[in-house]
Parts: sequence; structure tokens; C-alpha cells
Amino acid sequence: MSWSSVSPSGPRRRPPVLRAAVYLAAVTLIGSFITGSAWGAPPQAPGAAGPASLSLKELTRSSDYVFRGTVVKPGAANLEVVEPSARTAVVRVEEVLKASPTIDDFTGRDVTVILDAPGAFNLGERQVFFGTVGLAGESLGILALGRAPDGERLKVRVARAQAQLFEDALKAKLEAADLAIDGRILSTRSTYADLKDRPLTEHDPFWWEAQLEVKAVLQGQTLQGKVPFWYPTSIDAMWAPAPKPAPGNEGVWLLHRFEVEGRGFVYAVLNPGDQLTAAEAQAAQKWVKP
Amino acid sequence: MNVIRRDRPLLLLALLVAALLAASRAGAQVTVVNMIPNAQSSETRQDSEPNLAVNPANPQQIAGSAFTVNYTGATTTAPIFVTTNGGTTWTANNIVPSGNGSTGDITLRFGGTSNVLYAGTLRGGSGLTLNILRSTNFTAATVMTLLRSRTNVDQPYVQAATVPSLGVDRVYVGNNDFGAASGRTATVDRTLNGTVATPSWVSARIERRTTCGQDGPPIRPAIHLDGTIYAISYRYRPPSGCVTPLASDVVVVRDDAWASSAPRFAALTDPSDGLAGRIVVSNVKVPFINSSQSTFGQERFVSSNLSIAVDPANSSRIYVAWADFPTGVAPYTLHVRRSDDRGVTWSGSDLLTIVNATNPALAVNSAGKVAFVYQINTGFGQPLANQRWQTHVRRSTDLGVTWNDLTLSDTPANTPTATFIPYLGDYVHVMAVGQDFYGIFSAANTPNLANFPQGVSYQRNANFTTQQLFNVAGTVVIAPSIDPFFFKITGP
Repeated sequence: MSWSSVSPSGPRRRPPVLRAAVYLAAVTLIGSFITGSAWGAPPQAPGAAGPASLSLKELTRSSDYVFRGTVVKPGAANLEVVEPSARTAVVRVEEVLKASPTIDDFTGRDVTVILDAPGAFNLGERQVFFGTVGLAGESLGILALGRAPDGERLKVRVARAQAQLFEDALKAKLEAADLAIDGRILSTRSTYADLKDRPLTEHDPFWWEAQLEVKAVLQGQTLQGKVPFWYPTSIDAMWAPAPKPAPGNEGVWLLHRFEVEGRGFVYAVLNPGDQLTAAEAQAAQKWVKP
Repeated sequence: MNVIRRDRPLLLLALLVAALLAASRAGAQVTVVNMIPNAQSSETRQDSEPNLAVNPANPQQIAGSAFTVNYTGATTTAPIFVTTNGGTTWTANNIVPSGNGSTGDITLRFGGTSNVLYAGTLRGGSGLTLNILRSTNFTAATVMTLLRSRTNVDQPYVQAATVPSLGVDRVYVGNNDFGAASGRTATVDRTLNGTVATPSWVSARIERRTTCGQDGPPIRPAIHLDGTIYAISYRYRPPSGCVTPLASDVVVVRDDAWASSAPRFAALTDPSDGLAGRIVVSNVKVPFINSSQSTFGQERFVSSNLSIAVDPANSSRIYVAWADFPTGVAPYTLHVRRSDDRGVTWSGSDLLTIVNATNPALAVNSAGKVAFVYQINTGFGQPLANQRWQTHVRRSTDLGVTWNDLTLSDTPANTPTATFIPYLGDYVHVMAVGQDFYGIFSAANTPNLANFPQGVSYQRNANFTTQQLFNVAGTVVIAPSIDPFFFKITGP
């Protein structure tokens, strides 16, 4: 997907046209088309013709921003770094159907939608747009992966797809872990004495070890009793988001085999997602091993 | 009437002072911009440790970085900030490869005339994994291309330039390589052509002396277009153990042929031992206290504070800055010195000494004017609530004999509360393009004009009357946090 090109020589009076060749490859990989007509008129590919190859679920999975909106300015853009063209349009967001909670609410506001090839943006046209948020500037720049005619039925199907995707993502998280344990932290201790000659770096993890009492196993080998895992107590930018368990904490923990310099392989908890949220932990109970 | 007559001398004095101040600043145009885009008005991330790259071929194009997280929640890429209008407005663009939506350390630099942006990062989610990256279109959605990946490496610091006669980019990335033999970890990775499909790299070890087990984290290269490459580092002196405060030498190395000499970086030796690497100062005490210090505005000491700048019109003239505990204990003190003979001899005493400060950064413009940026903690010895962080730019036109002083920010040191360290960063950045200085620093973002003596503009929703931040819709108050700020100084 091309957003712009930068002139190789000298200053330009106009902002550069955005270009994203790799995104074209990504779009090609996941498909630029939407399958089927289960929700009525088939959604339009973003500027390309041909048979649909993506289910609504797959399109929703690939998109981090799905919204119902009305085209207010075809061929325009409301971001400085996006050059207006036939592939861009300013679209008013009327309802957000999928977005990360970290993205501001743009309901009632205008965003720029960018197609991967020239396509039809018609003034006043209301559609559901599927895309990824590539830019955050004066507004959002949405790289369109697909769009569909508006309708309540589509909204319901998007919500259903998101619920399915939540389950899929949770299952994938569990399967990516070496161990997924529902349990309680019994104790924690410093490991500094176990590690000799640690390099002096601001990114020292300051490893500690937690003893996790096993209530249930959701992924990995069947275990009983307790299992140790390492976690970084450092609040350096590199490690601050990692879970910091304390005795008594209960939950589902995703443990990964990790090589610690000077120690060898241990089970470790490294990223915020390695402790499931309450909603995830509840949903994951269906996968408890007998 | 009586009041006016009594106050007239004071009024005249005030007017005179104001006129003198205006005259001293006349011609110096200072721009300060909060880089958080309007679309991210709700963000409350601690965006510390900033870096900046200005495209010398088109200074309207600038890229900035900080400890910023992908705002979409995606984990495969992290953002940089980009502008195509010289820094007036900024956009976050998620193009840095990542494993967790952010990066560890990150620095950026454009080639000289190639329009190519290079980055050195510690890949997010991968610990001490160095990534050297390239983008041929930094505003596009294309994820940056991975040029080199190595593990067990700290603090990548990138510099780049286009060789005038050849039109190729040469790229240098200072780093602390814990995989280097014998504890001689100070390293510069370099390629002689950064724009080919698969650049070839060498890791040049620049430490020639024994250490306590390693060198300090910061290794900073500097490039002159005649092929002179300098680098500065902290040698942590033996004996082994590396205990804070670390007895350190500030060492400058030099290569006269784009770091392709044999051996590399051996052009400058020290008379004390004949080994490569001129010892600028010896046995200074450099603290390594890797925790948030309430006595130092919530910041930490991780001996990351070195800077070096070469005069673009004279490769023999270089300025260096370092930080230490002069007496072995606080206050943390910055020092600036100069060499006019390619690092052989140095100013016998400091050109500037700044007490209780951190994050020194140097640059020299095409007219030989030197800029020195730093962040000073006021209220030494006082409770955190009484401390403030100020960001200063000092400039000199007489080789560092006299300096003027601009305060870019003056913010409380206790608000916001640190959520991780570093609080403001282990570095800031300043660079020159032509006669203009461009830079970046991080500071608390409460929209209070009194906190920004040179003025400031915000893109994120901010009410300077109520001194509050708001979400995009302007309906929800947003808590203060640390933001990156761009600055530009033009004129005398």
C-alpha cells in the first residue's frame, strides 16, 4: 500500500505522498476482498476487483479499527503527512465497532481512510470500514483493508466475530506458552546470589523467582504441587510492564522457557500478557486439563 | 499620580531590563513543540529518553523517538514520530519492528543526502538484542528493514552521513557489546554503504585497555565528512568487580578513514601508555545506581551521559561532555571540554561545569557555534516536592569561553510519579543542520506556560488557562505525564 513517496532531491512545497509497498504485500497476503454475501450486498474490495477471499471473521481479525462512517470529502485527507489523492477520503466516524481501548474515541470526528489502489469514494456514502490505524496525527490515518455497506446485521456479525476472535486469541496465547497454570503464588525470592558476573547494564532484569502452587494446568505437561518461574523485578523501561507477582496472588500464568545468562533455561514470565486478565482467566477454564 | 512618580525609577529600570533581555535574544528564534499528536490526546505514557533525526537534505523532514508504545495495542511494531513541516505538527507512525509494541533503547539518524533514515534499537520484547534498521520513506507504512541483529548488546547509538564524493551512506552504531572478549566491550558497528540491499558490517572494538569487566553503557560516535570518525566511551577501570561509583576514564578514539583503517580507531593514542584512545580525564567517579532517586528528581544514575560533537568546518575541533560525582558522591556534575588538535590535547579545565544535572548533549553548527543541552535538577538537598527539572540550551560563539543560556522547560520534579525508569531519559539530543540547532527533550506535560519560558505549542488537547489536558473530544481530563518536546533554534 502506497501512502506517499519522498522526493529524493531537495525540498518540496507539497507534503510527500505516502507509500507503503510492504503493506501492499501484507494486504495481498491477507486478501483485499471480503467473501460472500451473507450480510447482503458483497462488500467492496478497496479499489480492486475480483472474487472475495476473506471471511468477515478474518477481516475483523486483520483490522484493528472497524467503524461505520460517512464519506464527507472524497479525494481529501486531514493529516499533514498524507497527500490527498483518489485513494484517500475524509470519513466521519459514526460508530466504532472495533478499536483498541488505547485509541481515543473518534465518534463524530473525521478520519482519513486510505485505499491501496484508486477506488470509489462517493460523497455521502455510508459504509462500514475495516482497516488498521497506521498514523496518529491531527487525526487518524486508517489503511483500508475492506469495506461493506452499512447495516445492523453487519454490526451484529462484527460483534460475533470479535467474540470468536477473543477465544481464538486466548487459545493461541495458551498454546504459545510452554506452561499455562492456574494457581497461587506461594513465595518469592531474589536470585541475585544464583547469578555471577551479571553485566552492568541499566536493563538488568533483577530476576526473582516465584513459587507457583498448581491448581490446574491449561497448557503443557501435567503438573502437581508447585512450579518455579522467574520474573524481572526491574522497573527499567524494558522490564517495567512485566508482571510482578507477590505471595498470595492468584490467577492464570503463562510460563515460557527462557535462557538466563549464567543460569540456563528457566520458566519465566516476561510480558504483561503472561498473566491473564480476569476475563481471560474465566474464559480459559474450558481448557483445564483433566 | 503620586504612585507613578514614586515608581518611575523602578519602571524605567524594568523597561531597561526588558529591553536588554529582548536585545540579547533578538534574532534567536526558539520553537518548542509538544510532539504528542492530537489523535493521541488521551495518552499518559511516560515518553522518556528521546532522540531526534533531521534530514539534512530536507530539514522539513524530521523523525523523533522515545519510549513510546504502539497506540493501537499491536505488538509487532513500535512508533516513531514524524513531521514533514519542520516540526510544526507531528504524527506517530508504527514502523519500528518490535515484539511487544515498544522498543528498548532507540536512536535515529538520517543519511546526509540519501533521505534514508537509520535506527539503532534494542528490539522490544527481546532484551539486549540490537537491531540496526533502515527506512527509505519514513512517513510511509512500510516497516523498517532489518539490516543487522546481534544479541547481548546495550545502548545502540546511531550516526550516519553521506560521503560527498561517493554518494553512499556510512553508518556507525556505538554499542556496549557484552559478548566482546576480555571485558573490552566498547564497540562501534559500522557499514561503508548503508543503502545497498544487504550492507556488510564490522564490529570495531574501540577499547584497548583492561577494564573492571566491561566498559560503560554509552559509546557515542561522531562523523566528519572528511572521513574523520571519533567515538567517546567510559572505560571502567580495573580491578574487576565494577562497583559503583566506578573509577572511569573518559576516552576518545579516532579513525581518519571512515573507520576502515587498519587497525580501526587507532589514530589517537595516549602518551601514558601509547595505546589507542586518548584519555581525556582519568579516574573520575561515575555512579551506577539503577533505581529512581528521590534526591534527583526521580531519575537514575546509569553512567549513560557522554556526548561528543565535531565542528563540521574543522575536523580537528571536537567538544566532549561527561558526567560524574567529582568527590565520589552527589551532586552529579556535567563537564564540557574542547580539543583543537584532533583529540591530542584538551582544554585544561572545564569550559562549562553544571552541578546536579544530567543528559548532556553537544552539537556544532556550520558557523562553529556550539550548543550544549542538559537537564538540571534544582533544589539539591531538598525534598522531591521542592525540586524542579529544567532543560537548558547554552550556546557559544567563542569556542566555549562565554555562553548564553536559554531555558526551554522548567517543570516540577515530583509530578507525574515515575512509572518506570528512566524518568526523563538516559539521554536527550541536539544536532545542527546548517546554522540551525534542532533537538528533543522529555519533560512533564502540564500545560502551564510558565513551565516553558520560550513558549510552547501543543497538538494534544490542552487548556493553558485551567492547566489541564483533555481527550480528543475535550470531555475528559487526562492526567499529566512525560512527553517528548521538539525544539529548534535559529538565528544568533
